[in-house]
Amino acid sequence: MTLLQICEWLESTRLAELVTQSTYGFPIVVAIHLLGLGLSVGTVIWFDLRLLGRILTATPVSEVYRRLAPFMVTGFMVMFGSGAVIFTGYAAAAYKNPYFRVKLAMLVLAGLNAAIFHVYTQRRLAGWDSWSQPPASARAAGAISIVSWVVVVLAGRMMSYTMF
Amino acid sequence: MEAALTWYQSSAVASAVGDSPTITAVLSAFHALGFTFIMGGALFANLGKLGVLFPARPVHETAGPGSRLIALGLVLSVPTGLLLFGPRAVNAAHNSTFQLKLLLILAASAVQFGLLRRGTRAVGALGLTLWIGLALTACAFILLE
Repeated sequence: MTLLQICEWLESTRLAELVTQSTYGFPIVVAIHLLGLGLSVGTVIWFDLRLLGRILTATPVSEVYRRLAPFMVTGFMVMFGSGAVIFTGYAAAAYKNPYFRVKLAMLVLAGLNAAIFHVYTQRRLAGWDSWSQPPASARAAGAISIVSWVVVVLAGRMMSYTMF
Repeated sequence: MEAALTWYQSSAVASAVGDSPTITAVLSAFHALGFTFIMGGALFANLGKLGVLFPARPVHETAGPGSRLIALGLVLSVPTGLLLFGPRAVNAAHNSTFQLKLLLILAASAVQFGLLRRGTRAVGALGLTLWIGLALTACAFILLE
């Protein structure tokens, strides 16, 4: 089964039908997706700015993360959950859309960046937790995160206007 | 007012936006990015003011950067919103959800930039309520338009 066939199968499911056929189904899920976006990307950006040494420089990086994490996690759960529902309804069209591929590539980059940060950079966090300017590897992680999420937002909106 | 709206809707700028899905898509993309910055700034500044995020830190450490991100969000979303408004100016202006959205932008901006730094925690609660109300109204406008 090819990826396109999987996408076509997704479009034939009951969930896809709910998204595409009901009067308010699609706009409701899009609205939830946008609220999740505001909460997730809108808060992750603050952790990235702390990694870049631009805000709260007297507060340890670990504390900034701990205080923002509940908002980031909730936002990402809402955003990914609603995004998956929207994708189910228009999977084949999204599969063929170049902006969706850019968005997916940036999501992978953001995910890899976060994973590398948590596995390698954060391992030595105790040594630089209170530094106002974190080490270059942490600053790079913050910069890559901001750029990738900005592109995700832009490509996501572009895709919704070029898919149909 | 009606004449101004009709003039704007029939202007070359509004026609260019309305006739080009690409221009509309690009404008909408930057409008959404502005929305994201506004929401992020509003949460950070007002939750900071309420003492929820960083209770041990002075308010200006969250209110200042939060307000600057909101300002960046407004710089992105207001001009793009005005251009997106063009092709449907007459209908949108009569839409009560859209009118509420504009009112909330003005009220939330006034609280954020005029009162937040000097005000009490109640101002943080008011600001947060207005910005969340704006987000919900913006989503409702998509839903009901």
